[in-house]
Amino acid sequence: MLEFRNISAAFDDKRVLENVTFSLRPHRLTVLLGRNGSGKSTLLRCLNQEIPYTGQITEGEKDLAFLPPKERARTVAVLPQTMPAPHITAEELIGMGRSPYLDLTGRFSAKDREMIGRAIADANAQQLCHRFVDTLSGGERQRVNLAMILAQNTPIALLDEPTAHMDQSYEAAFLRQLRYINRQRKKTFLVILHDLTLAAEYADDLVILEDGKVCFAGTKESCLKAGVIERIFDVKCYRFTENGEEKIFFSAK
Amino acid sequence: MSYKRKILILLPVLLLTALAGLYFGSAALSLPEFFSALTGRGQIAHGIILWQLRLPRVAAGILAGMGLSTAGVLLQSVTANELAGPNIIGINSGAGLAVIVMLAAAPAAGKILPAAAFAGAFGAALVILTAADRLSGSRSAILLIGIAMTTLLNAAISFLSLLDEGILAQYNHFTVGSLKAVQLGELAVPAAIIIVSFLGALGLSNQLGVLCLGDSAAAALGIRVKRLRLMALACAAAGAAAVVSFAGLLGFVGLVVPHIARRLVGERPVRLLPCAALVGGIIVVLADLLGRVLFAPSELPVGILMSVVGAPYFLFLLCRRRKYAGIS
Repeated sequence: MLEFRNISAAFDDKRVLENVTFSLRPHRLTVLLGRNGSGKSTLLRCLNQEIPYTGQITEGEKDLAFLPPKERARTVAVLPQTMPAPHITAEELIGMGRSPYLDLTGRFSAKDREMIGRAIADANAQQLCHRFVDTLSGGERQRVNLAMILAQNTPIALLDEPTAHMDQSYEAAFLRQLRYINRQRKKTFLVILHDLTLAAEYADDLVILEDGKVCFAGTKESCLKAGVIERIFDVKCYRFTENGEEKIFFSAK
Repeated sequence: MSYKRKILILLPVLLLTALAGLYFGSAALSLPEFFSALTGRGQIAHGIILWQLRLPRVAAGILAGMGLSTAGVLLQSVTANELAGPNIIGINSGAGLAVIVMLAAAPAAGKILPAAAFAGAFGAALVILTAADRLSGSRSAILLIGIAMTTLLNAAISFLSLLDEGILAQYNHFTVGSLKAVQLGELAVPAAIIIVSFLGALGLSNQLGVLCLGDSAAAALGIRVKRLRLMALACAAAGAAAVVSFAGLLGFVGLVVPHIARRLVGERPVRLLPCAALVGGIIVVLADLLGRVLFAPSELPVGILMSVVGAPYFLFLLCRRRKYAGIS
């Protein structure tokens, strides 16, 4: 179980995170919500050990700050918000997901190839393998990036706004794929999203940050019941039933 | 065409270029004379031309091409900037300052100029590496520190060159870059440094490949980004400084050759490094050969020829890329 305990971080003199404490329940898809500047991406940068912080981020008994980088990369995968599109094939990029397992020669073992193949299938990226990454559309590129972090074969994966700049159909398809992998592979996901409606549809659990502090962490149902999202984001919630399934929408007041 | 096949083609091309470098020159040898001299059975004069005049130049050309191209690939990878070359980490300016200081302090000590050039080049690179290490170690920090240091060193060079016109003439000879006076014995130490830096670069190449995904993604994949960047810079500095010590300041090799190699084998450093080393060797040996025969018995320094041919070719590459990117 990944746990954030009393995480505080600051840029210059401005405190961005303040005693952030929550844990990810295993095999669940947790969505991290918050207004712009609430500290969501900073939290992921802390986990990636890119910026200094106080507190502890642990996975089981292991404190991530004291793990060697390769071991940390075998424990938690992180997909950053923005990534360049290099002139390499999608298959080569996906293969980079095996970097934490490779020796100096960089040769793939049978296990590496198996994991790459499985990641390509799970991310539904078979048709993209031989194309160059810089020729892919935004949605296709994110599928390839997803395959790369799946090839990392970690129990936990964190994605920072993976559906940014996607059109709505791609967004929904991407999150459906993520939920499918979450259910099939029992992988724990923490996904940063901006779209409240998508969060309500695809999350099992929600964590909401406000001004660098956790103002909610728990199941989606309890969050919706308590009306936390309406209060924090100043939105109105609409519910209706379609084909026997309850749908939830949020819109600005 | 597969990567292995391309390398298997480049290897004999380098061998043929080297043989051409040995065969052609201002003193014409017939083919039987050439082969006799090559096997050590011909006239003594032919043997001297081949083994003591042409072989050192060919060997120096291969080493210079290998060292500068390796440095270029490393620098362009770690800074994610295709315009990066050995000059951005102070190699040229550091070597230049050391040489001009030596010329001013001990004009008769010509023999220690290569060692001084190496010390100056590597010393300047170390200062830039240390400053980059103290700051963030990011790609922009390296570039900006490099530019600032280079400006400072160039100012010192300009100041010293104002003091004595004789020094300026000798210094200009060094900045042009030439393989004319190279002797085989002088190449042993630089060769060892160039080969070690190349092998070091190959060892880092898989991790360097991941840097193309950006620092955050590379860190998430278990790469110690800052340490990797500094190690790659140290390899680049050592290799390029070793070249400067015997060939002076050869322009454009470290900048252009990685671009040519990239067109042949793609972006991944693990493939780019061997290809760039071979292409670099071929180009420098060929340029030196042309410099010797085009205006024989006069000689055009390899550095001038490299710049004359390299600059238009580089512009051609840029235009091709703009066209590919759909920019008119």
